[in-house]
Amino acid sequence: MKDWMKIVDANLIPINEGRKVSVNGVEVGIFNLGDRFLAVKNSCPHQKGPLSDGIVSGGSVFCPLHNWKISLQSGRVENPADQIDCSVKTYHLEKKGDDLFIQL
Amino acid sequence: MKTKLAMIGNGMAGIACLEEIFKLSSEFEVTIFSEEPHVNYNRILLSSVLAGEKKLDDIYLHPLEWYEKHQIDLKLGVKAADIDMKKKTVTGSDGSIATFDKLLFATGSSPFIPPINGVDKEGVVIGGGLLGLEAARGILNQETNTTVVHLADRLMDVQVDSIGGDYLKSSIEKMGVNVLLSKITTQLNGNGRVTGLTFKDGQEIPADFVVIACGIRPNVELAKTTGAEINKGIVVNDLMETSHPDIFAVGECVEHRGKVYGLVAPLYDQAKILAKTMTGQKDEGYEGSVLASKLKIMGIDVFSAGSVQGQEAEEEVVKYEDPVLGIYKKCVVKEDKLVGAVLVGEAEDANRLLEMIRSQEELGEKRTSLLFPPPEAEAGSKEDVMSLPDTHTICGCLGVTKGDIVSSIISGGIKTMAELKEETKASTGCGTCTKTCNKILKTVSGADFSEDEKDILCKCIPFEHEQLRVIIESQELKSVQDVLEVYGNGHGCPKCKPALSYLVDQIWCGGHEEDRSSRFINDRVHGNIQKNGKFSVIPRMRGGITSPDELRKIADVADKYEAKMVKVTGSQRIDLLGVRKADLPKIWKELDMPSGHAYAKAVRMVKSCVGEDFCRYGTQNSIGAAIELETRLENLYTPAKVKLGVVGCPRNCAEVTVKDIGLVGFEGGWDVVIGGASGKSVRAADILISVQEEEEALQMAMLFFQYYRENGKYLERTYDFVERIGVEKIRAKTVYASEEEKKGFLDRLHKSKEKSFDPWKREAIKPENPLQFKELDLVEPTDKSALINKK
Repeated sequence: MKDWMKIVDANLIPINEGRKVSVNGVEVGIFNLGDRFLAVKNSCPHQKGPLSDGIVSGGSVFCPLHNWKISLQSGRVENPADQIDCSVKTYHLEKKGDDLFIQL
Repeated sequence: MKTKLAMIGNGMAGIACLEEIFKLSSEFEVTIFSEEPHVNYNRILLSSVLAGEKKLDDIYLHPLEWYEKHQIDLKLGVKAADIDMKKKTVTGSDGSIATFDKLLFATGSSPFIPPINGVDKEGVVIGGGLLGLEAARGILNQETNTTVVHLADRLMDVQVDSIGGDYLKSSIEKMGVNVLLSKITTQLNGNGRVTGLTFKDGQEIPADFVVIACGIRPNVELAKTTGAEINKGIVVNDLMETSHPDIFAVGECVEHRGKVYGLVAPLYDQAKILAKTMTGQKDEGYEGSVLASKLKIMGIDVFSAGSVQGQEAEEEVVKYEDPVLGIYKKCVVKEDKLVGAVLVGEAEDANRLLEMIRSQEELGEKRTSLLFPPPEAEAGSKEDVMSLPDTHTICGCLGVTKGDIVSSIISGGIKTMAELKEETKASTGCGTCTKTCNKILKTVSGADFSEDEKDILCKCIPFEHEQLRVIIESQELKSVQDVLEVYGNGHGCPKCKPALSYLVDQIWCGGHEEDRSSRFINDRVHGNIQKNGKFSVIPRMRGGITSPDELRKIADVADKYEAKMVKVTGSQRIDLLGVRKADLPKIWKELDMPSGHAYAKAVRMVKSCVGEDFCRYGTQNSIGAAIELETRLENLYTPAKVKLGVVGCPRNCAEVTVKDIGLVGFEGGWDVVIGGASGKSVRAADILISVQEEEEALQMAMLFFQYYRENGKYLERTYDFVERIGVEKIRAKTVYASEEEKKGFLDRLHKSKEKSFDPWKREAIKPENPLQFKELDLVEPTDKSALINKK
C-alpha cells in the first residue's frame, strides 16, 4: 500500500481552476470541481501542455495549448473524437480537513 | 439596324422587362434615364434596411457590370425632362438627348402623401397597410415607441376582412405597437421638427418622427405630355401597349383593366408579357394578376389573396377561428372554385390556397379540406411540396418555378440555402417562400443537405451575440456563471466562457463579477502561453517610444530570468520570450512598466511614425497623438485584439491603413480610418470621417472603439465587423449620431476606463491567488510526522 502525502491547502485552489504541484519530480495537476478535488498527470497526451492552466468545465479540463478535452475523473481524452483512446494518468486524491493528500 | 429603346425609370419592373427582352432578342439598343443615382435595388427589402437587418449594398439587384454587359447607356442621376414625340427624342436634365424608336415608361409610383398641413423617440406611422406595418416593426427594432395611425376601421383593410383585422390588431399590439384606427390625420405639429399630430376629431398625439405609408400614386406627369391615354396610371391593354404605337409602359405607373398594381409579382408578370410584345412574339397577353400578399413581420403571419370580403352574390364563406391562439382562416368560394382566402396567425398553408385560386380548379371533394390540408399531405409535407407540378411558381417575386429549383439543385450540386439563393435567386425577394425552398432542397439533395448555420455563440448557450447582450443587460446578470446557469447548460466551455467574460465586463462597464476560472490562462496570468508551457512578456511602450532607462531594465530582466529570446515585435515593442510562469510577478515588478496586453483580446498598441518633430515631411504631431490615444484606451478589453496607429502624413510609414483604428494626419487635418487588416487577409481601412483638430480625431476614434466594443461579436476583428455592419451604418451610428448618443458612447467608455487597471501593477504586489504563480515542489519528506498513513 502506497503512502498518502500531504500536498497543499485546499482553500488555495479556487473552484473550477487547477494548480500544478511537483511531487518527487512528478508534475501533477490538482483541480477543484466545487464538490470534489481530482488529480491527473499535468501533461496533455497531445503535446505535453500544462493541463493545470486549462479551462475547467463540467468535470473536464481543456488543454490551454490546443483545446484537447480531458475527463478529470477517468483521464480519458473526450475530444478530438479520433483521439478518445488516449488518456492521462489519474491519481487518488483525498481531502481531510483543509488539506489535500495524494497517493502516487 | 437595332431598335433604339429609351426607358424612363430604372426600377424592378423596368429592369425585369429588359431582362426578358434580352432573353428573347439582341436587337435592342437601350438608353435608361434614372433619376435615382443608384443602380437597380430591391425596393421590397427597404423595410429590412430600416429594421437594420440589411445594409444598402445587400439589396442591389443589378450591379453596374450588368448594364455594361448589355451595353446599356445608363444615365444615373439624370431625370428625363422632356419628350418630343415628333423628333422622337428624350431630353435629360443634364441636357443630353437620346433618340428612340420605342419609348418605355417604367416610372413607378410615388408614396401617396395625404393632404396634411405641415411636414426621435416617439415614432408614428401613418398608414396601416402592408408597408406601414412593416415600417412600424422596423422602427420598433430601433427601440422606439411606435404608433400606427390608420384611416380605415381595420388594419390592412384592402387585404383582410373585419374579423381578420381584429386578430391582426391584437397581434400587432402584443408586439408593442400602439394602433389607432379610424383616424384621419389633418396636421403635423411642430416648428421645423415634428412634435406631434392632430386628427380630424381634434385628438392630438406626440411624435418625434413620422413615416407616411399611405399607398402609391403612379408617376404619370411626363407621360401626359406624349398624348398617350392616362387615367389613374398610364392605360395599357392586355399586350401592355399604350394608346400610342411607339410607347409602352410597365410596373407601378401602369393601369390595366382599371387596376394599378403595387406589388412585385404582378409587375413581373407584366414585364414578361411586355417583353414578348416588344419582340414581336405576341401571345394571349396579360389578364391581370390575382393579388396575393403576405405580411413579412416575424411572429405575425398574415396572408391574403383574391377576393376576401365574401359579400358578393354567390360567394360562400368557409371560416375557422381560435381566439386564444389568435388564428383566423377564411376561404371564399364561388361556383365551386376558390376565389379568395385570408389567413391570420398561421399562414403555413398559403401556397396551397394560392395555387388553388390561381389555377381555378373545381374544388369537388377538396372542399372538405379547404382550411386544413388532408392528413396524408400533412404527414408527408415534404412529399407534398414535391407533388407540385414543375411549372408551379415557388418564388412569386422572382418568378422561380419548382422545376427551376429542382434542376439547379441537381445540376449545380447545391447543398445549402445560401447556395440555392445564389444560383436561382429564389427567396431573395420578399423571402416568404424560404421555408418551401428549404423543403425542396432537403428532399432533393437528401443526405447532402446541410443547414445554414445560425450564428449562435456556442452549443452551451445557444443564443446569438445580440440576444445575449439583451439577456445579460435586462436580466442584470453580472457573472459568467449566472448567465450559464439561467440560459445555458450550466458549465460552459472554453469557447463560450471567455466570450461571456468579455460580454459581462463590457455591458457592466467593468462593474461585473469577475470569474477568473472562465478566463483563458493568458488572462489569468497576464502573459502569452507558448508551446512549451512557458510565457512571453511584452511591456507597454506607448506610441512605440522607449528610453535608455527602460531598455536597461529590460536587458537586466532578460538576463536575470533567462529569457530564451528578446525580439522586437511588429508593434514597435520588445518581447521577452520563454520565461517561467513563477517568475512573472517578479519580472513585472522589476520592469516597472505597464502591461502591453499582448496576451489579451484588448487594446494592443498605438504604432506611430516620428511625425512633425523630426520628419522632414511630417504635417502632424503623430507621436503626441499616438501616446494620447494609447493612454486613453489602454487596459480596456475588446471583442478581439485591437491594433491602432497614428501617422503624421499620408506617406503612412506606420502602416495605419491596415490597422483596426488609425489616424492619418495631413496638412490641416486628420482622417480617422477603421477596419484595416494585414493578417490572414489584407484589407485597406475605410475612412470613418475627416476632421480638423487632433482632439476631434481622438474623439471620433473613441466613438468607433466603443461602438465596436458594444456591437462586435467575440473574436470578431474590426475588419470583419466593419464589413458585417457596413461603414455607412457605422458612420450613422457613431460620428453622425445625435449628440446624446455620442455622449452615451463616451460616457460608457469613460466608465469602463475608470474601472480598468493595469494587471501587472496590481498583481506584482499582491497576486489574486497566491498559488497561481507558485511552483510547489514537494519531495518525499524525511520527517515521518508529515506523512499520514490513511490505512
